[in-house]
Amino acid sequence: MVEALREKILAAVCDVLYIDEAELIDGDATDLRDLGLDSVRFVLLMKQLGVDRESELPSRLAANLSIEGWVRELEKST
Amino acid sequence: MSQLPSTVLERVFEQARQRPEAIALRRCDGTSQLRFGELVAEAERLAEALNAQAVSRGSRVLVVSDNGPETYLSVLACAKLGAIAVMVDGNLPSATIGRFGEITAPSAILVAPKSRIGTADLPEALHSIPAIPVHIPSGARDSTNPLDVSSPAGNPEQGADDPLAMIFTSGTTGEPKAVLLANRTFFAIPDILQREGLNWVTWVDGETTYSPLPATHIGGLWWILTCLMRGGLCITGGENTSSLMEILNENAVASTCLVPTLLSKLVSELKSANATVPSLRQVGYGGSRAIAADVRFIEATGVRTAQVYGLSETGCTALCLPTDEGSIAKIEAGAVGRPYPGVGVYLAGPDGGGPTIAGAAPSASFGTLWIKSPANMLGYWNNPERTQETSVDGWVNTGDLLERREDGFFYIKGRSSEMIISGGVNIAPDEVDRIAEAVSGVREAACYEIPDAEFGALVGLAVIPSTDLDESDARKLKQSIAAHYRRESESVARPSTIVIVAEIPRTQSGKVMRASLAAAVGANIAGTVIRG
Repeated sequence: MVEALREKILAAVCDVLYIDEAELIDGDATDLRDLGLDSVRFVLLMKQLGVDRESELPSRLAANLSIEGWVRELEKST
Repeated sequence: MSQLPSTVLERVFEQARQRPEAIALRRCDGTSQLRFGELVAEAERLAEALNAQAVSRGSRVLVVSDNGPETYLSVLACAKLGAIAVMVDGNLPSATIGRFGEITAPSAILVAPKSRIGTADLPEALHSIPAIPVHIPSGARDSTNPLDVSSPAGNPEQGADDPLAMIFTSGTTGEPKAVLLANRTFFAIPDILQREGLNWVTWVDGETTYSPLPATHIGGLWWILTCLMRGGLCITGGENTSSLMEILNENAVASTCLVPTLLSKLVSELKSANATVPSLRQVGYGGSRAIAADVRFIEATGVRTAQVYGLSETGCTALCLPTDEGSIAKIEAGAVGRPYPGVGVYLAGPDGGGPTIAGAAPSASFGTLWIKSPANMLGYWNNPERTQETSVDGWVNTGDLLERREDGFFYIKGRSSEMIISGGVNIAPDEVDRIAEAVSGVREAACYEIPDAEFGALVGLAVIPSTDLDESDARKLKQSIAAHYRRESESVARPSTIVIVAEIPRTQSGKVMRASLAAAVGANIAGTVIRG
């Protein structure tokens, strides 16, 4: 379950940021802002991950800008 | 400098007096050759034929162009009567030619022989207007008498401000507008350079030149007329040639004018053949953003270059960037040149109007460029509203966004009308393109607008790779482009979508047609689009 969620997030991040997994220098703890995450790409990722924009989830994700942080927050929300 | 004649025709007549036997015009395949004596004699003859159809001073004459000698002969025949040559590409659809006729209400139509559209194929709305096929008699050379130097001059009753020709422009979008150009458009800048002793662009009397640019394009018409006024041997046509290099070498061409896409083609041919054009001394280019590597390559063969910047409305060139120390680095940074002496420039900042409003602020360092040139247009034909929008007290609003740097040169950032506004931030599209085109593996790139409910717009980027790519390689190229933007660009200007395309739609001069690109990418019809 967690692994499938991680794969989904990773695929979306690589797709929207045009990066390869190898560019996650600190692994899943890499700050996504170092790979070009900004407000435009954050919104695109929310759409791609099907996150409800009206919920509190986007602000929680914005406070944890890494793959591991997002796995944690999305897992909590399910 | 002695007083030069004040019309294009008078100046060409002057050359005919000096060198009647010299070749003035020839198609690149060797046909339709005209000597200067024959050129003025044939112009007189054609003018008589037009006069017989009630064409007179101020009349409009559609010149259906094939870009060959007959087209330029037609322009001079119109000039002889003081009529205005309305330049129309003979490859255009019949309906478009009909629309141009509607706008200009011509009294006659001259049809060059290699136009795709013939006199019988003209749109129905033009059937009532006399149409004359233009042919150069094969025996013209033998039958022409030497020009009688005591004969009346070309059109002495006319002056520099009298209209000579109209060029249609629609820019990258919009309704066609007929740009009315006076005689002065075609010699004001060369006269300034000569008077000031500047070598930014040079003409050598009697020299051979080649223009592959259409005669319906301001650059093509301007270049050939300026060379005819200097007694040049003008090679024309061949815009769809398979080899520019062959034309230049076979005709021992000394100077040529190109758009950047043709410059790239020439460079590619020279590299493939490991050859040079020994006769070539000068290449002028402009019309869209130049590729610095191409200019560097041409200059390394010992050829001087001159980038010219301007619009149909500014009568071709108003700014120039010739070969000089550091000029290649300037081109890489997007420079288009600096104004010729006597050409006024003004950058209107975001809060300011043009230079003519009461209390106008001093020129900004970044903004929309206004130009006051002695070559500027007279206005748009029969369109006072659009004329007032674009031209005020002799100043023309180019609609282009430029930055003036401390080196005195102007650097282009895009079109005001093409500005992509994303999250309230203005994004200059040319700057976005420039960043992508610096990435290894990218042959061409152009950005386009993606409407977005949240941000207003997002930036899309279409890329033509240097080589064919499979899906995995395409993904790597996109990653490489995205990484370059992260290093080089402000966040909001970074493309949110990168697509690989087979073609980027451009105007004849090479400007990106961004709305068409957006539509093509959106409809997934711009060739093979690989997402990933």
